[in-house]
Amino acid sequence: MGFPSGGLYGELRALAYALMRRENRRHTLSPTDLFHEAYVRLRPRIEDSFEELRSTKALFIVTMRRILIDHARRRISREKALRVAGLDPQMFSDFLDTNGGELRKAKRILLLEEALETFYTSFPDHAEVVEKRFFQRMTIPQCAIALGISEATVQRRSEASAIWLSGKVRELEQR
Amino acid sequence: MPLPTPKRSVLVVLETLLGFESQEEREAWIRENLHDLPDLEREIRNLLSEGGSTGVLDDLVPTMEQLGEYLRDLRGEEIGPYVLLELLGGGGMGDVYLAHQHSPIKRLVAVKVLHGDLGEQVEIKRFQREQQVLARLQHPNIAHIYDAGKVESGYSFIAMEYVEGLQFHEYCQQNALPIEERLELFLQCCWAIEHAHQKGIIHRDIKPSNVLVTKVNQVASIKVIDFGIAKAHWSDSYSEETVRILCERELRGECLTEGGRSPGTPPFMSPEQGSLDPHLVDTRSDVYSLGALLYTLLTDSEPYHWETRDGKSVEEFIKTVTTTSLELPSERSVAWASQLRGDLDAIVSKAMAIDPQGRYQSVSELIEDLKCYQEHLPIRALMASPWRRTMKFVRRNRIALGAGGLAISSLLIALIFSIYHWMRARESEQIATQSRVGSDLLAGSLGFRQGNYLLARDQLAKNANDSLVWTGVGKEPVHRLDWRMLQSLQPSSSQLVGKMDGKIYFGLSIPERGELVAADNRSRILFLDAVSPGVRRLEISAEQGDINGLALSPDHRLVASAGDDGSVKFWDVETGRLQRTLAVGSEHVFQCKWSADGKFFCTAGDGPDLLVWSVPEYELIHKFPSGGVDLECMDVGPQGQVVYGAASGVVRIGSLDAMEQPPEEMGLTSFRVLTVNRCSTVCFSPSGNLLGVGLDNGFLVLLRRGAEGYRPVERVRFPTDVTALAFGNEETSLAIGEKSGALHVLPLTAGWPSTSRLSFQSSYVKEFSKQISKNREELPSLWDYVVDATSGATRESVSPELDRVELKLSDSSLPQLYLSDTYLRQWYDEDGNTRADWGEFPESVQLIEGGVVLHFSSPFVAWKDSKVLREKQILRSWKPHEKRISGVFWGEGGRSLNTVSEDSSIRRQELRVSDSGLVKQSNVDRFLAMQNQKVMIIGASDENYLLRMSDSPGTRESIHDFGVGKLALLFRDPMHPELVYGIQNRFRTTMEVENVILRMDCENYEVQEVDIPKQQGILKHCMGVLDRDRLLLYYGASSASELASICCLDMAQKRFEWQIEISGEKIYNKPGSDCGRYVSFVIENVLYWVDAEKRTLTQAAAVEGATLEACAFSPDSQFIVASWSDQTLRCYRVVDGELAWGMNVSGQVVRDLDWSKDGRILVTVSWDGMVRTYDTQLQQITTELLLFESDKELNFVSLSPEEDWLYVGSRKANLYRIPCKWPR
Repeated sequence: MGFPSGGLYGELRALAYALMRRENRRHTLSPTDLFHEAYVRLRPRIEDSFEELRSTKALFIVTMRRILIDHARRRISREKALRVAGLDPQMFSDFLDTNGGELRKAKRILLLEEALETFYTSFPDHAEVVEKRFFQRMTIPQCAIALGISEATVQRRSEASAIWLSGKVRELEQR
Repeated sequence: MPLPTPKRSVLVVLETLLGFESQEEREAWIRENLHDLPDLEREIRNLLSEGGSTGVLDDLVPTMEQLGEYLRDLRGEEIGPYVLLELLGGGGMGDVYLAHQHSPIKRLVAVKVLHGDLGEQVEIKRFQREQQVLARLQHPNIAHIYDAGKVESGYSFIAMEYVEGLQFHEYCQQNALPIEERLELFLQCCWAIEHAHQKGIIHRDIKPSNVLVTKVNQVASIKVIDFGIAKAHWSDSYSEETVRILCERELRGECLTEGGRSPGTPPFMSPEQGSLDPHLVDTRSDVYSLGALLYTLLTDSEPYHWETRDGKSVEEFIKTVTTTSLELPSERSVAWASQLRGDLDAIVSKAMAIDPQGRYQSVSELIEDLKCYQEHLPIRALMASPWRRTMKFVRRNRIALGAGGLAISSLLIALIFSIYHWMRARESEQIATQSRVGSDLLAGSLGFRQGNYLLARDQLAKNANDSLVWTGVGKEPVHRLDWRMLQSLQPSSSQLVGKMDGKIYFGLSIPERGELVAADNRSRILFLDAVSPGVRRLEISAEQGDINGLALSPDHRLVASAGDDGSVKFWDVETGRLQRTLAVGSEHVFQCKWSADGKFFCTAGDGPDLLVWSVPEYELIHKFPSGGVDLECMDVGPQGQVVYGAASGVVRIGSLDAMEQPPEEMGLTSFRVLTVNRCSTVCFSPSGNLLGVGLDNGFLVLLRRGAEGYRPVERVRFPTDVTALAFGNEETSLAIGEKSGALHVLPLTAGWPSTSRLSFQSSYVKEFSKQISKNREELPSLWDYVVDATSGATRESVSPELDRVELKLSDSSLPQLYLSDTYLRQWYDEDGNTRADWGEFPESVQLIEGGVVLHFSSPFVAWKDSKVLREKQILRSWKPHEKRISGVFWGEGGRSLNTVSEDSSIRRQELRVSDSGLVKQSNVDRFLAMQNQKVMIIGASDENYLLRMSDSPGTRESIHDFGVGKLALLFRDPMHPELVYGIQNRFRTTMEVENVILRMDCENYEVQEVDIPKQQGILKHCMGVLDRDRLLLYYGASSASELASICCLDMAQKRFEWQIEISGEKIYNKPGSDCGRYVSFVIENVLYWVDAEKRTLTQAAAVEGATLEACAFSPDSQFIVASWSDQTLRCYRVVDGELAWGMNVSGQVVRDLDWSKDGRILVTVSWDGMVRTYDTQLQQITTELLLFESDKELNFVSLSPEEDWLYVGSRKANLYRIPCKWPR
């Protein structure tokens, strides 16, 4: 699955940014809200440019993942830049947080992305569950309805996927 | 179960395993199914051994909230050559990050990343062009813009100088800075904004978070950030619709960031900015924001409360701002109320005026006022309209009175008494008019305070003739406040001695002949008698265009005229014949003058340089350099000194004796008086010891000659441009003509101007801002750095006058230096404060081996504390002319002043002998209004005047000057109001003081002395008028054995009708009753009244420990009410002196009081500046009105017979006339 190229992605990101900014006083924006908003605004463009994407939801998931990766990459390059600038990263508190720090987390996010790449191609059925459960934050019953499978299956698949992805990330980390 | 494909199998196996409840079941399944697949088994075991963790997804896949944060958080993002490091702050247009620039040089910068949807809309090229404009901003107090652009990833950014510092206001609070230091820093901020305005850039978003304080060499320094960002966005790169949306969004606070930061902009945004029409916004909008910033600094609180959570719309907020009155800083501030009251209140109010027209029209005006405040000089704001203050009065009174169920629908102007009705000010127009008038009055009153009588008069006269008269509840016009000013009432005034057809541009006097020469713009030269009106001797048609200047040869035989045709013509004084024509060469000649020894003739015109011609050949022999600037004015002193002033405000002083010397040894000194102002006139005193310089900002600068040449010693400020100067012969006084046509005489008494008050700045140059300007296009970005005396450069040598500075540059900084003209000279005093003048650029910069030399055009003049000036009184002021006074000359041995003006008239002002001293603070203590207010008598200390006032307010006529002798008391005859009596001290031949009674008939204003038959004792007082023919006189005892007596004089019969003997020496007259039957007085603090019919004396019981301040008979003469110093009003029955009632008064002791005609209301004034009314039946206060904050010592109050006017007089020589309305 490829990412949309700069222009539209930038636009979507800007849109999401604006929406978040406007809404974050209230913290009530749900993924669905964001999706709807994005969908309404971007539909004309999406239909033209992203036929290969089966739905705008997919685009949204991609955006989310992209935000995540971008953020992680920024974290890593910031740490580097601070050192280059002669500033002590320790001075900046978020590098000191307890579970290994932001930097480690950022690196893991990139590894997760790598793991997901493999995961999506190898286990498309499971990928659907992961997408809905984790990226769209759907509940198990919601997933079951959306995918037309039993709740037990959703439960099993998501757990198995999570274990697999965790393992993969660990593996990549030790690489 | 079929075995799955290897890849797939992992997940399938996992799912299966997850279906088991217990660990044993899983183990069994693995042993059974995976024993022949060791790789898969290992993999599965491996995965499960980690605890079957699903944590990674929950941990790494963000929630929506986190996603939002990730979106906003661009730390680490690489934008062009910058890596964003840390979020510094957010603003309407984007977030600002600390960033690291990695090429071409490595440094920290601040990068503003525009909010995504904004950046998307900005056309990149136009955007960059805007940024190039911003890059022109080179000022030490402005964070520089290095770079701007848009990167491929879609972000638009602006890279700025990174300023490490605190927000302005935080810095002030953390360091608990006193007002003075806050102002000092604020001034830096103003300079920065002014600089930008000069470059055509409006900041539009000045607020505390955009002004940072950083330390440069331990010295706090202001950096204005975010410069012109808004401009870049709101300019024509957007459609109007977009601009509107942006404005709205900005106002709604949507663009603001979170994190507990207060939404900054709206409280600092000018009302016109809030109107969402970007075209209304100009530099005055920044003035407003600066005012709001200053407000915040001075009060530690924002001017308006603004909270988006209030749900208030922007329109509502702007409405609130425009319709409610803002508390004055002194009212808001807890700690500094007294320091802020007055000037700073006025400055802030003026800067924050709702109407841009009412504000300072430029930041430099604001700066100038702040500088004046610092130096205790009069400020401009008080010359205009702090209307909010007036509004404040309205509000205060409304609250105070409305709550009591009674009201005053007015402010200090229209005092409308209404006990039963709340009259509402109906229209906003009315309010506006009231405020305008009120502010003029306030300004006028402040003019008094400052001794600026002309200002006061001008301000107040505005209303007098104002056709926009505010109407009260009824339809009839209500004149608000009439005022009188004693100084302008002095009978000796200006006399017209001649008139010309054109504008008179110059004049001179020929004292020996008692003549005046005037020249106008129609090429006419007129010789006329300086004293007698209309006596002309010669009239010459010079035919040289406008005549700008005249000169008289030292032998008084020639007059030279300088014309617009570039020629100087010489005329014989006797015959008026043309003797010679000199072609000067410049386009216009402005001024010319002979040297005192007659050897040289100097001319100045609209070309550079002062030209010196030899006499009598009239050949050009020398040029005094003006630095290429056109000259405005010049003078030649008695010892051959020359002074010439230019448009740039630089005054140069040289000597004709030194002409032969090479230029560097000529001893030419120059100084800049104020950087921005034009010199309009210069003048040496007769001895040459003093030099006066008049500037077009109203400043007069006096210089005194000392060992080191002329040094500025004093300055005085006038309301308008100083256009003409003349020193008196003895150098004890200086006459000053103004652009407004006003004329002043300033005493130069011993010790003043003193040399001690001012000194040249002895500090050093500490800081230079240096910008690389060469090859700007080739440089990837602009940057600046500071060369200061301690690091980048060493201060090798500084000339004593600080006009030449040599900097040695260290090796490391040298390669980066380019020749530039943007060094800024900033000055610090010994304490390291930027206490000095405006920053200034050098005239030339010269690169030398290993360093650079800066030449400044002028040495630095610093004004030390000139507080004394505030109290400095101007001897006399007139306004003889309607237009600019172009010349002023002393005549008749210093007894008169002649003036010529562009209003084409030539006038003479006679000075009185008493003018030799300073004007005393006059004390209006007696006052009489009669004949439908057409005649009034004012007594002020030892001077007394009779005035006639016409029905239209503001016009008056002085009828009789009672002179300097003491006019003890004035009475009007209640039955025959056309008669006025007064008593006057006269020195008779015996050298004894004798009193005479004057009787004035106000029909024809004839004053007669009353014939008094011989009587034992000394006539001390005239105590009152009983009827047309009878006066009550008090005779003091002539010897210890005698008693004093009160006698009733029958003027018709010329005899004493009766007399009552009394004991006691100190007698004070008090008013009589309206019916004329009773007259009251006080002896030894006991109140007495005489019943003229019964010829009896009644007394009221003395009050222990209290003195009597004032008393008044009730209109029906049944009661007399007295004000005692124990803050009690006591009312006595006239018949027997019994106390009828007593009432405590609020505020201070009542100084004077009056009854209403129906006897119900008592009007009082006291020294807290309040006019109060009391209801005698309800025995309570009904109205309270503060007349003037600045004029509190109210001395008398009187109701007109028709009760439509209230007259109030103060110790400061102000007389107020207040319309009043009683309830019907």
